[in-house]
Amino acid sequence: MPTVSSQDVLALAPVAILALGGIALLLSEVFLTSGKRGYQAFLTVLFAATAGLTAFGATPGKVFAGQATADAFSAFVTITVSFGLALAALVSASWLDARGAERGEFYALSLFAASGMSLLGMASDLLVAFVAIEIMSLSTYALAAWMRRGKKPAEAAFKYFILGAFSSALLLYGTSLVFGATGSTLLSDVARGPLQAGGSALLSAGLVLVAAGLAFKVAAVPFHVWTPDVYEGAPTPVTAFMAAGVKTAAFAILARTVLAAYAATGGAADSAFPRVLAVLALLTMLVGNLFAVPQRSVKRMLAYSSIAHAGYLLLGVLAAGLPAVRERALSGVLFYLASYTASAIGAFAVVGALESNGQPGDEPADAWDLERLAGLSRRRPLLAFAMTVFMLSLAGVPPTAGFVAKLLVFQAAVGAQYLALAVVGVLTSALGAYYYLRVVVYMYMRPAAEGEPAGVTSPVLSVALAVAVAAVVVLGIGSEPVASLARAAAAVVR
Amino acid sequence: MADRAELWIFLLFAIPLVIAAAGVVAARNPVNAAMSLVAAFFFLAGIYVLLVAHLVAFLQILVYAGAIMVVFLFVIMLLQLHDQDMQDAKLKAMQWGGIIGASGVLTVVALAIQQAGEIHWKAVPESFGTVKAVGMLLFTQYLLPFEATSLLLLVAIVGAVVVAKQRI
Amino acid sequence: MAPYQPKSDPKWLVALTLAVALTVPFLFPVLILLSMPLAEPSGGGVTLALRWLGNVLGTDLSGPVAHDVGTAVVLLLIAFLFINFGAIFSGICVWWERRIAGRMQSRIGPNRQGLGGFLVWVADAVKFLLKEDLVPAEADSLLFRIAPYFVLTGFALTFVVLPFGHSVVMADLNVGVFYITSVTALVVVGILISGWSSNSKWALFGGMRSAAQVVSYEIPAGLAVFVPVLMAGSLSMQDIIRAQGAAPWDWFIFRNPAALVAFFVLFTSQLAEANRTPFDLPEAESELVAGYLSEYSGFRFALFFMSEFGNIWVMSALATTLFFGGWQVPGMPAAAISALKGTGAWWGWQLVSMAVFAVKTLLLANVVIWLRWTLPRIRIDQMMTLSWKYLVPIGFVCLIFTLFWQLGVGAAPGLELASGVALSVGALFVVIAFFRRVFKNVTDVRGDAIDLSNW
Repeated sequence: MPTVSSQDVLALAPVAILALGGIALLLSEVFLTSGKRGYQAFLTVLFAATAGLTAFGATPGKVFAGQATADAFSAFVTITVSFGLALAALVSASWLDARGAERGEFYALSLFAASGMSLLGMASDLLVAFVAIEIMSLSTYALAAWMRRGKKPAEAAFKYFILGAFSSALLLYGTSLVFGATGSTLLSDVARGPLQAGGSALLSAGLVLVAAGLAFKVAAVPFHVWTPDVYEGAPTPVTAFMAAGVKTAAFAILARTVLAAYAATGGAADSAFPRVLAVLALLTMLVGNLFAVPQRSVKRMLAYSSIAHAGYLLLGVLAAGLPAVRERALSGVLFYLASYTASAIGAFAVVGALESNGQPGDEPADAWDLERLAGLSRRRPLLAFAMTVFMLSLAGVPPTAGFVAKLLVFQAAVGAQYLALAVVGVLTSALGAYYYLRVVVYMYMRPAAEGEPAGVTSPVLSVALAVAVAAVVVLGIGSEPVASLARAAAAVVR
Repeated sequence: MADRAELWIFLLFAIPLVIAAAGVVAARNPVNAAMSLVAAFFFLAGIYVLLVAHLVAFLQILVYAGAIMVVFLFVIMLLQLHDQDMQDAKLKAMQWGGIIGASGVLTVVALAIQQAGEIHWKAVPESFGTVKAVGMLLFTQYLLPFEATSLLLLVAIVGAVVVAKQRI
Repeated sequence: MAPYQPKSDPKWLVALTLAVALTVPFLFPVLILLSMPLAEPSGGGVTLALRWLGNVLGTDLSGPVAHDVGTAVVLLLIAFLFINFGAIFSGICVWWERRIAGRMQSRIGPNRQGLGGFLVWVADAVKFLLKEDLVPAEADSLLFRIAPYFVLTGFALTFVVLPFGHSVVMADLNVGVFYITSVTALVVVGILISGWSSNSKWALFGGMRSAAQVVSYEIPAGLAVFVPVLMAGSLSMQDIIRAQGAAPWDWFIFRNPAALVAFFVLFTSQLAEANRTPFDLPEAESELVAGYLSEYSGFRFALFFMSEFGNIWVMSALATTLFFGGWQVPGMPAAAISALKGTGAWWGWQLVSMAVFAVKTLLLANVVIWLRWTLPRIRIDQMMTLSWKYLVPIGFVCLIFTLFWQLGVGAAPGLELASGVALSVGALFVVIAFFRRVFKNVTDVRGDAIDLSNW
């Protein structure tokens, strides 16, 4: 009979710290007498930092009867998520404060979401993964519904909730079929294949449903339709957190599941499962980039770009199927996630800073139109510079983090003989450069419109942006420490 | 004799279960759909009992038929949906899409199960399905998901309160 | 002019009526007891019965199909007996309640049909059956017709696990108590549906109120139920009874201070779940006509009422099982009971255990009736406050206290006995004080013996 050891408990420490942080913030709101809530963002950052640090300390190994795995991979995911949470909390602080909407519940839900993401990074059991996904998703549903005044935010929150619930149902149904075929929900058992010889079809059907459910979460085409509306309608800091954190955690479990699925379905590169994944990656890269081009709204453009990035990440996960390049591909995916976290949160932070902070509801239809960025280099040179760095990173221009990330993933894809896909990836990246650089062009080469407000400034936001810029640049120039961490993390995933 | 009686009882529950489940989808009136769902839960609970999973059977009745359906009914009755809301052209297209999608999945799963061949059932221990056995599993093998679920419920409560709050 | 002589029925007739009122419903459990050997899955009772029947009819009935059909018939027969117990009990309970109400309100109450109006419940039933079965034109006729059966099913299903005596229980499920909590959930659905389908605002409000009330009070009830479950270490009704003893200090209610509190939490919650005064807001006649019952008439109305009064038995029997030692009889430990098996005294023991259980349950049922005619109806916000702000936290405290109490009992087994003796002596004093006060009140008003003139 399995019993709980101290190793089990220690491995869960980051998750527990994040959850306890959420509870602490909830309780602090109860005893709050003054309206001052400035401490909440700092408390969140503190808890995120502690969780990130404890993730280093966990003894590697399987815990809780193999249902979770504490290893370098999960530590990397936890650290990335904690970093994203800390950045997003700082961004939220100034954004919410300007709108008088700062509450302990906001940070508590973010912390709960992060604890779910951290647990998802550890999950090596479909059941645990489902519960963790639900923790993450329910928090983000509620966060997306924060300040839902006006039609768009309400629609976004509702759409996110309904489609998210639908995808969870797919995931759960798939899990039950997998359980039927293999008699277990443990990924290590799933990797062993079906219990009976004839059960492989049932197993495949289950795995496809699981993959479809996860594809919803990472916004892969054709399961992406919710993304633009939700990203646009949700409060901007929430969008930032959603884009970075949810993607990181969902790709972590997707990678573990796909590896198990490869093993279960024979591991051959030409079997049906990789082919399905390849089509997903191809469609996601194409659709994400093509639809991002005509967008006038920067926020919507970033939403489509996040779909495009999911495509590149899928390419990395696909390449990881081949044992020869597995380590390279996975380390590329991890590095990509870290760099995307910094760039996306930074970009959304700038977008959020430029939003009008009047009463919600008087938000104009073109709230995030490119025109609002025009002449930013003269009004707010530093903000414009930061945005430029993020855009370059998202476009994959050296010497930013995004370049290294794309390079690693495409190298792995080439190594895994997915030449055509790698070419498509490079071509669509070039297309991406067009719409990312258009933002830069507007900021530096277009005159400002009359009476454009300067946007929010706060020391907290400046710190967040400075950290994000530093992260993007450091990851781009001195990528080796993080890349080696990612390699070490990728090496342990079986 | 046990097998035959079991089959009869199975059919006694299974046939109405399918009818009730179809009723959920086909009913035009949301209250009728909800009531069909209650009925479906009951017949499903009967099948659980037949599988000697008593605890699951009554949990399902308590949680779904008792608590969740009451909330459903509350919402439906307070929203007062009108019939004309339900006759949208888009909805019709979605219905057809749903029918095709659902039958596709059903076909795939049915074929997959058929392909799996004869399933060798494992004999279950005497204590199977009892409160004690389920509790043992929950607190040993499935401790992590069990505890994570408590966090999930907390998140759900906080989230519901946040969403329901009028002013933020 | 002769002095006023109170008209009075002979005492022996009154006693006879009461005896009949007590006996009639309990004929059914006795019949069930007698049919138990037939239902024994391994006992071959059905086979024997079929052989006998085959001899009588001159056909061979030993085939498997006949056996299945025979088993089904026996089960249906027992279910029929259980439902009729519920129906007859609730009928007689109506009469009893009306008599008590009469006395408590210093009026007469029904006294025409039969001695002391005893047959009024039969008259009521006949009246209900003869009335027109009205369905309002604008109502959702299918749901309107079906709703009473939901309520009835939710009520009748509880008899599957409710014990009547040592061996008189349909199925001793290992989820026992939990089963009762879950099947009674059907009642809510029925009430909600009846309120909505009537297409009347009174009914809708009544249904909504009732659903809100029942769902709210299910939580403290569930928490309170878990206190005896923790003490017994089982959810099965019979196991919970077996874990208790016959003497009051061996009952769960006194063995643990938290259980005493939990009993009151459970009792209050069950009053609310059964829509009994002071929680009868769903049918508050001064505000809502009759709540969800407004549009019902005839037999369907009778079904609602039957389950409502039958629920008095269910809730009292549940409390007896969980807190008051069920059918335990002094001087009959488990070893002595099993020694009786196979002898004629076995049947006698069954009857004794049933009688003990019934007496305890009826005493509690009487308390339910007293409460109805003593307390005023509370407001809806008070009802919600009571549940969420008082009963739920108290329930949690009881649950947690019991966890530690059980640890303490594990370390020092004398703890339970000490608590049992102390609390039962305390309860005895309370009961004595209560009767003294009642006696004083009666003598203060009349200055002489209780006047039974209206009997």
